[in-house]
Amino acid sequence: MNENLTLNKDTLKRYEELLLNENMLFELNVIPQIVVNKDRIIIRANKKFSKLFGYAKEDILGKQTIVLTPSKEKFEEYRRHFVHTKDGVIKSEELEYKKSDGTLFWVKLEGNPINQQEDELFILWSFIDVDREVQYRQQLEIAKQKAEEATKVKSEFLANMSHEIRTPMNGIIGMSHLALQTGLTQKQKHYVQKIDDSAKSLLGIINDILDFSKIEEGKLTIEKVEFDLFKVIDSVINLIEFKAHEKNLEIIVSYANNVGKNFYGDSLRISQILTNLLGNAVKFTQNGEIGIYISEVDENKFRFEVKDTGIGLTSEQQIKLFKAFSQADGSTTRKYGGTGLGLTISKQLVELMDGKIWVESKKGLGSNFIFEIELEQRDTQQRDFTLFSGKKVLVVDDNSAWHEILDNTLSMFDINAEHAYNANEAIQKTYECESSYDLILMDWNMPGVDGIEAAKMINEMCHTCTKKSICTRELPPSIIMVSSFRQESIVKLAKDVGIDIFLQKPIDPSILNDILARTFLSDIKLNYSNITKQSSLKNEMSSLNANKILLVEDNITNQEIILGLLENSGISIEIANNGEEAVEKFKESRYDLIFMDLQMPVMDGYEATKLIRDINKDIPIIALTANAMKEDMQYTKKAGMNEHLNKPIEAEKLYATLLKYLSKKAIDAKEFTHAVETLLLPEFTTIDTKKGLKLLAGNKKLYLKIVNDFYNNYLNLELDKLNDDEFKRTVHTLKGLSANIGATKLYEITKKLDETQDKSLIYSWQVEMKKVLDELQSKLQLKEENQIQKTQLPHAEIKELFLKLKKAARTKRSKECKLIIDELEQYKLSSLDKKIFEDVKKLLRKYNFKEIVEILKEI
Amino acid sequence: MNDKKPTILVVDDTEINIDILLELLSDEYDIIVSLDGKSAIQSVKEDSIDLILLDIMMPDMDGYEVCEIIKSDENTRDIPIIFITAKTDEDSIGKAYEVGGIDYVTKPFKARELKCPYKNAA
Repeated sequence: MNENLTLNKDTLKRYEELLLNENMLFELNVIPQIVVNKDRIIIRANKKFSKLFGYAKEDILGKQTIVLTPSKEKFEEYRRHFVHTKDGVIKSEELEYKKSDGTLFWVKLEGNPINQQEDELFILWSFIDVDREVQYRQQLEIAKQKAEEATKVKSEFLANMSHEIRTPMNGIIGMSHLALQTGLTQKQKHYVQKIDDSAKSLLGIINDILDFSKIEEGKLTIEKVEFDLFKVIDSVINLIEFKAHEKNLEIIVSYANNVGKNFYGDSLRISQILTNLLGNAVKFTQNGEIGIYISEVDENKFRFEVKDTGIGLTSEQQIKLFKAFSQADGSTTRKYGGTGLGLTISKQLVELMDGKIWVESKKGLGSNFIFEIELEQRDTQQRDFTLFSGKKVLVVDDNSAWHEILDNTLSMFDINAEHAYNANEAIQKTYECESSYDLILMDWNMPGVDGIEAAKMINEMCHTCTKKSICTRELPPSIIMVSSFRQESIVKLAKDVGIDIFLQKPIDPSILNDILARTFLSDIKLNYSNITKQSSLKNEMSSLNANKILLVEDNITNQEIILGLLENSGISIEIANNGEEAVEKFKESRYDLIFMDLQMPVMDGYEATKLIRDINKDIPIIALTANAMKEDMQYTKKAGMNEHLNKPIEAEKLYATLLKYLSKKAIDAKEFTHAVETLLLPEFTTIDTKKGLKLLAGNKKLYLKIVNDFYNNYLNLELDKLNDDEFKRTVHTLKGLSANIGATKLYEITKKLDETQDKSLIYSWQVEMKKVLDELQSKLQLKEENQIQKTQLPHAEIKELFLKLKKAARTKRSKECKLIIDELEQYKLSSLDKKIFEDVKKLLRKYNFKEIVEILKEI
Repeated sequence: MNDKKPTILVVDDTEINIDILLELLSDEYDIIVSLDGKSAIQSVKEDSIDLILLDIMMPDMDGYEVCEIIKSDENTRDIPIIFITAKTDEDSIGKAYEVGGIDYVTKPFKARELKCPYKNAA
């Protein structure tokens, strides 16, 4: 480079002049530009402008800028889109302009005022061509709209399909429910149970999809009601309890002591989230414990934690966990089923409640799913239970987590508990305690000495106590048995040692409150039955038996389900197959309530309801529908229906609805013979079932039991081999029983036999008796176990059979195992053998041969 | 004629599938049941198996892997394997053949379809 190269002053000045020549700079500018005067007339335009708009310079100069805009209206409108910035620059957003050939395209404008002469204002307008960007963006927008529309259509389709699927599901679930209540053989029962299980799990999936699509569509709303948190948690636990106990998992429920009972919020959705999280916890935990922990994090903000000691999650898995259709393990070797929608739904529900959800987990150590939601707590003062303060309570449990939880719960009642971790420690503490305990909460299942044995020892010790002079209590402490398992056998054992009160884990604080109140405030000890949950509403149905219902439903299966569910209630039910029939029937007869299907041939439920409402405004009309959408409920309400029952129909909901709308009126049993007609008993030739049922006030269950007993007691009766005394007694009893079951002819012969004691009648009696027994056997599937008389076999032979069973299990041959099990079934087994045998049967149903071999190892 | 029933090894981790297969096949065949790949491989070594019905989606070891192991052992490679699968996509089925399966049956089972192939295979 030549560093000496310089420009002389003249050259510089010439260059400056040249460059200052505006015209040249304007012409060469790469940006399309024009200059307009105050009347918006174009007075100058550069080359780039001509190229962009397609005008020759001479054609455009002197014209108003209106020629560049698509229309006169736009020309005026665009003026409103110009924004004046502080430094005097005018800017526009993207605007559509017109080329000389009429093509429309998008530009952005920037105007710089040039004020060279005072009376004249010029503006230099620069055009930026943004046509391509705008086009792309518009295409993108269209694609996005299409995608959104498609998603919406898909969601609607899913919602509709789910509804369509629910209809036949109703048939499957309802029918298997009813079939399970009939006398089935073990094999049939097993099959139907599997149908029932599979159908329910399918329904769960469908409900998930339905929820998911509703949330996607934005149709799901949060409803706020007052609710009892303890009850909500209790019902959630009820749902998963069975599965958890099957896996021997301990269930823990912990309420921090600032958490009360009454809340205002969407309890249904909260229980849905908790059920989902707890369901996962059970699914992914092989041993240890699962639990719900509830605490207040802020005023009216609560934290729910669902913890487990399961397989846990890696951090990568945690990231994708809450995404729809994704699961932690999506490979072909995945161990755990599911749609992968549960957590997504939970997340969306939590967000709908203005909350957040997250997971804390370590692979192999377990997970903790946490969500926090705004929740209004009502009447917090209820938490002060100071009635029991100062009471001495001992908690006996081998699990330290339980001590913590009971401490928490008892502190709600102002009780400071003492602790023992095994039976011996409990006995020792009770012995050493000078004033003795008021109450002992005793775990049943402890290693070494179990709770029942420990209770027995404490009771005995207190009765024979020599410290009476220093012990202030006259009676031994009240002992409450605490157990995760509510088995009748344990309850019975506990009762034998004088423990009447049973408390089931996880502990519901309100139940504990009841128990403490009854233990401390009176001397009456609580019966086990008093604290167990409410029994089925079904039992209350008989109080409605004088009512008459019209069932409007075109589907025979659905008709049968309602008939079946109300079978024993005595309520009389008439059927209409469509809306028109319903209206006709309604005009002719008086009913107390109408069940109305919505979609029916000839006339649908809405129209029928309208016509019925014209005649009668008061009769309760309950819609039966597989449509679970909220809008449908609004339609039915609008049509004049009182309430909505979703298919598949749940027995308890059906009963609750009836109890709500029907007045309790029961009539004397003898009068409602018409109700008996709705019962589905087989037709007999030797037995008049109606007669038999009438004698039992229509109680079909009782009737079947009596028939069953009759069959089993007299199947092997050899009347001719009895001595006179036995003969007399047996014939007399038989006379009554044959009348009771409605075996008219048998009754007549037995009556004659009873009156005359004429043994020559035995033959004709035997013929008739055989007819009755044969018919009973063929038409009613009587309980199998009662038919088999178990025989005694030497222990060595039983052992031999068990060894054979072990061998068959080792080769994993299910059928061979089953044959041996059938053989073993015929023999009386010792209690230990019976326990092993029952366990083996359970394991075989799951094809778990490995465990079977393990169990049989000791034999 | 040999009176002994042909032996089929059913490998599936879903109870209800085994229930159905047993119900359909156990009159005509001697059935051995394995809930997972590991115990299936053990059975193949210990017993004389004429045919294997093998599920694909299983915990720990999937059906393809089980098949590959059986096929790689000289003593067991000739046992015909039929896959039972809920997967109907081409890739899954292609892979079933690739690893040495002779056929596949899709779930849910149809009784007739299920009974046909074994007549020839077992």
